[in-house]
Amino acid sequence: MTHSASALLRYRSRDLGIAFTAIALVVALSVSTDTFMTPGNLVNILDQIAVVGILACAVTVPMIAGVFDLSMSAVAALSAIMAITVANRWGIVAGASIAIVIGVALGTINGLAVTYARVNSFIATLATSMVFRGIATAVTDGQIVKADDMSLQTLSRPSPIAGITWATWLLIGVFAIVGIVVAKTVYGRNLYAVGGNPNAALVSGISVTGTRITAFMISGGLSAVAGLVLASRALSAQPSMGTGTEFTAIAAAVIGGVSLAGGAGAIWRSVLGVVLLQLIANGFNLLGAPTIYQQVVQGALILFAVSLDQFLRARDG
Amino acid sequence: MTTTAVSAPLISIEGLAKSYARNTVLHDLNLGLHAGRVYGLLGENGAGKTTFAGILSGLTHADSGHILIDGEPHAFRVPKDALDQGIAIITQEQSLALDRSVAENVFSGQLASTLGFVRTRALREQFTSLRDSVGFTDLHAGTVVRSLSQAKRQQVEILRALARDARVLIMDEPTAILSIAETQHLLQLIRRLAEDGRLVLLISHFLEDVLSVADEVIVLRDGAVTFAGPTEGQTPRTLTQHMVGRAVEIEHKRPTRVAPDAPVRLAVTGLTRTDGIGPVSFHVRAGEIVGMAGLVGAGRSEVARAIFGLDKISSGTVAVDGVELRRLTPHNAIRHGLAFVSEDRKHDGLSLVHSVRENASLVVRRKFARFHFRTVRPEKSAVGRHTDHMMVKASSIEQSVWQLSGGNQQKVMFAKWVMTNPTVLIVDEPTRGVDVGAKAQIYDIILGLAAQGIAIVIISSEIEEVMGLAHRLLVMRRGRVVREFDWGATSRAEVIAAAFGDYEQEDDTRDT
Repeated sequence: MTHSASALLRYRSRDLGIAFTAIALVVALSVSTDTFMTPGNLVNILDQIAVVGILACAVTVPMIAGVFDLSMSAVAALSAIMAITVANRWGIVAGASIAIVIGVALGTINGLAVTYARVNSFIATLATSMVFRGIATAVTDGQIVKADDMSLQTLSRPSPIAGITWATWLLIGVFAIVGIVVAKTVYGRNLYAVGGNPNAALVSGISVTGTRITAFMISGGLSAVAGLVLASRALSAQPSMGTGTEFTAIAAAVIGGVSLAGGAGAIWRSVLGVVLLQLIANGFNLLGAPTIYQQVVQGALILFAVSLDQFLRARDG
Repeated sequence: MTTTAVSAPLISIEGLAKSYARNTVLHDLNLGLHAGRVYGLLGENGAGKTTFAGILSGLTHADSGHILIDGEPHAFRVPKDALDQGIAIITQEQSLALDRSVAENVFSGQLASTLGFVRTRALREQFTSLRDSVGFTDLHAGTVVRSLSQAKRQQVEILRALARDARVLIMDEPTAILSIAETQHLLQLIRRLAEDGRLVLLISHFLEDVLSVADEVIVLRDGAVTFAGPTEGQTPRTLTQHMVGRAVEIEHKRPTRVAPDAPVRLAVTGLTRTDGIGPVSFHVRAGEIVGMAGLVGAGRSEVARAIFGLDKISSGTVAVDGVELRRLTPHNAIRHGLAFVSEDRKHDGLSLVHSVRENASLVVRRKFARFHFRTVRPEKSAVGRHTDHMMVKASSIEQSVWQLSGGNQQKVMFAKWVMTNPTVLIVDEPTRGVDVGAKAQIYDIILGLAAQGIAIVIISSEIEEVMGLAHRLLVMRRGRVVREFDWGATSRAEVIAAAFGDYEQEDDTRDT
């Protein structure tokens, strides 16, 4: 019972196409520019992907379970606002902790709306994102909330190791933990089962409701983490921060090969998708190409990635 | 039966061939099909029936060969090309707009209109005349399709084909979803359609259906025709021989006796569902196989789902090994040793995109986990052992289950539940859409599990199957158990009579 050689090759090429594309881009940019392969630029790229990278990890969890979370940037904004408010009074540790608690709580609300109220996850999280942002505006009166304490900025500063910023380390930590939970644990396994066929999962004694609610709790909590990184950049938070970032995160996941239908994908894929999008942006920058075309290229890439996936599915079917 | 047509065939198939990757599905098919006749297309799963039907209807493309219609060669790129030639297919997976009306579905793509506005009245009139010509008199133009039963939806599909002036109707397993009475009506309709000059190609697993309605049979084996000729003189035995290349006859032996004092492993008492099905009471002893027969909708699957906690009950109890289950949920049922091989593999049995391993270990995954982390190696070896034992044919346990045949998918389901070491195993339609060879293997699996002391409940619409396997046979009608028979103490006709109730006994014309 082994794979035949060609089947293995096909499996691999489908699996690693995204990695090859990223490597090809790295090589192309190294050759065509002197500035790409410099420590400064690489550190910069890694710092820039931190927020979207964390959100991409976050959104992949519900996506594998067959549901979407479109409220992530709203959760990030609301929890960052609360974080700074609390931090100004009780210190940064309390602020960061409260942000994550709020993120998980808002995720729970999303989960309950999708499972018990049986609202389609697209609509449910779109609706809750309006609610969350509305609350954020109400809490702040629409104003920017400034941090009194400079310690929040630590996240945006370089760490002693290789000059990489602490935000990058946070991304690496989130990537490692969520990656392991999804790929290696029983809970991760349940995510795939629920996304692949919820009815079969139910018959197999897996709680579809519980699995999905937990998935939203994870994406909510991680959204709060992303919100902290965003807040550390400006040392402030405001209701409209990060608007639309979840769509970039979902696009990155799709480019990486996470299925829109659920049941298939991996955390590393989403992160690689983020890297790919950032490499394109960086390339435009370094080559001095007009950045107005950057979105055209990124949009085309999304179309290409999804149609390639459909094509491979059709051929293998 | 009509006499052999001397006229030129309506459809000639010349040297049709098709392969997927390295897998040849059809080789060099040559056939002539005549108008006004019913052809039964038989073969095991994977013999190429569906591919052949797909090519004829434009759903798939042949690698080589020709299709001639009235002597003219045609190549169908899309189903519409075939429809333009009057060839319509009615597949197992119905393709209807569920939230639109019956009439809209029937005339979709050719709605009567003026300046783009649908002429509602004309649509209704068209529908009524078409419907009455076929005799589906209880189908109404305005009904929303979603509210119709499977059988009625199939009638909508048939009307849609006829609305397009189809001269050729291909039906892929049309009777699989029908009750006995509904099947009879469909077979009568097929005869009428042929008498009106249409050509009907009937793909079916049910040999009796084909024998009773087809003028000619075509048998495929491994993509080649092993028999094509008049139905007359054929029997289920000869057809099976053509299908598998040897005579396969499933003969049920008397099951090994269960001691009358064997412990009761499953006891169901007064189980009543919130939808009113029930009350149902029965028990199953260790090593005993209890069969459940009845018409579609009699409540057999519903009882099974309720026992397993998938649907809500209003009263009644379920006890396993004397311990009453406090809450009926699938999770709790599994914890108490219940296992449920559900009816519909694709709907709630398997996650088709995932591998054999992922599917088989879905329930027992915790066993292969330490502190919630999966351990892959013991999982692989356990799945490998069970799938080998069940004789699952797959290239590896990492193969996706959608690539497997129906029989092998079913065996994966068995492996999945046997891995839980169940006390009670409920199997619902274990051999639906499964070929003859795999069927015999599945029977052996069931008998083997009973021999290990597992209490088994088997639900099947194939009466011979439950009659042959079960120590005791319960017949359900309208949500209740109406009769009980011991093995060998009844006939097919008696079971059907009980299932229909006395008033409808004459409906069983299918028994021969």
